[in-house]
Amino acid sequence: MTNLQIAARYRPIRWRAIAQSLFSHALIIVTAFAIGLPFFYMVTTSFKTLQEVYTVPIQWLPSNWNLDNYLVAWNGVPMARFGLNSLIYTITITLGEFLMGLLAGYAFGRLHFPKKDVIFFVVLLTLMIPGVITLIPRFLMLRDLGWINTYQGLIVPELSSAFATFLLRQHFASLPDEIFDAAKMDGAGYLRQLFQVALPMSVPITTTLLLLAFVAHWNEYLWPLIVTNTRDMRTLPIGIQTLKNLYSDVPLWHVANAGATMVVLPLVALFLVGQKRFFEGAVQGALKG
Amino acid sequence: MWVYYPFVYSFYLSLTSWNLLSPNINFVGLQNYINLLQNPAFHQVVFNTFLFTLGTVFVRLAISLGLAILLNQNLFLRSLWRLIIFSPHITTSAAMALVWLSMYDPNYGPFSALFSLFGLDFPNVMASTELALPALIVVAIWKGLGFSTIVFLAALQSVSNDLLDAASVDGANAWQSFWAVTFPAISPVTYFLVVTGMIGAFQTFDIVSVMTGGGPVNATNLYVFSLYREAFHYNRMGYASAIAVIFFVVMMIFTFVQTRLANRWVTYS
Repeated sequence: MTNLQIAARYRPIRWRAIAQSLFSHALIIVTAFAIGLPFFYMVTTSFKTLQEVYTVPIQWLPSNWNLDNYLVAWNGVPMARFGLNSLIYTITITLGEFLMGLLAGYAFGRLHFPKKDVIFFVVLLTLMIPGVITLIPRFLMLRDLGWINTYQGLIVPELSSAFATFLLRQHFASLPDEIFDAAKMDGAGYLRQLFQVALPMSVPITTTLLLLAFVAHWNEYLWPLIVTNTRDMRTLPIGIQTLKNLYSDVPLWHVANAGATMVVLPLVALFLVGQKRFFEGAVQGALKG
Repeated sequence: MWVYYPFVYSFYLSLTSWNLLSPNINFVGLQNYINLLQNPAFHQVVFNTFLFTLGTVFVRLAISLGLAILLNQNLFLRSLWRLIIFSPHITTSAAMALVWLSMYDPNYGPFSALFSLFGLDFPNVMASTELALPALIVVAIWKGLGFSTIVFLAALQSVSNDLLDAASVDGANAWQSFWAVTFPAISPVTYFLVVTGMIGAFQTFDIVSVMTGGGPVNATNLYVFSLYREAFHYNRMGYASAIAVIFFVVMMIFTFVQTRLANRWVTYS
């Protein structure tokens, strides 16, 4: 036996390390419970009756798991319409913004044209100006166009994304020149090079960008709140706010939480399916920025 | 064009008095700025935003650095914990604000249940001028915790093990090697999180609008919410534009100071 093996055999049990590991596990479990509490409370409350919500001591779980509150929420406000508005708003902007980012990112990353760097810098600068500062003029421009409370008013101003342009530019610039030269020799124009050569090589970053954009626009609150002013044009996050006092002054927490669940559920599903891309998206922005 | 033209237009509007409904816009010079700077309600909004931003960003970063260090160890079910910690980040603020509002219920929520375990009364935080702002800070910390934890975790995983080993051979304890090796390595990411966290916190709107509407008595009125209210409830477009312009100037100063300060503590490899 070598000395190392002997040492391994007679190594004392590492109580200290075990205690440390137990402590870490206890800590992470407590944290996970604390962070998960709002989700737990949201889902369980959405199945409770009003009596079960307003009882002391607290009743953690509903006695009956049925969809009553969801039906009340669905029928109490035009939930289907809110959902449709949210989908139209989110999907159009996500795709439109992606397409614009794709074209612009490709142009900045792979093409040569006069003053390219200056123009790119101007685009990047827009990232520095928080949207809040231009909120009022944007609203006034929509008003002058007669676009308040319309889909085009909601969507068109949101269609460009400096962030998508930036990330795609960095990505396209990093692709090897040889592939594009070969495509050019085969007679592919710029658009074919973009859609048949560059895009298929960029599936991960494309998925990440689309997922992040979908979540961001689904969650948007301030912009739709300003641009829309009738109930049938509201999106989900705004629409569910009236559920709390739907038919009483006492807050209907069970119905409100059912509404909140309906808004958040699609995102949770998306997150569970694409979690790897979400983590990458978070880290990418931070380490490249 | 969609960004720059409105930007200039904001400056112009801030020098006018206009209630949106009347056809004529009156030029009033710097009057809006003078009114703003003399208005105690505006002082309170600035103070609230300052408190909210500092509280949210620094507490959140401290907790998330701790969590990242925890997640960087060998843990049973590590990816599950990571998933749970990150999940608030992808949720809808306006919807989760509603959930938190129901949890803050003074008599029937989980917090009041927890307090009564210890024989304590859970205060009506949403109605209290002292507690409402901290209550919003808790929500903002919860919402953003996962993002900064994941970013810290990625940074920690890139810290060189050789350097850490070298430090422990040299007799450094965990605390010393954290400050000597780990912190310089994660300082660029910390800088990124401080800056983006502050810019995000400055612009908080959703949770204020859903949970408190700025109340009770202005105690949770944050900057962007006050801008929204002046412009779209009271139709004071010139006055609200002045708020926007001051916001822009503050952001410029903030960015300048940040880059200056960063040179002192951020280490780029």
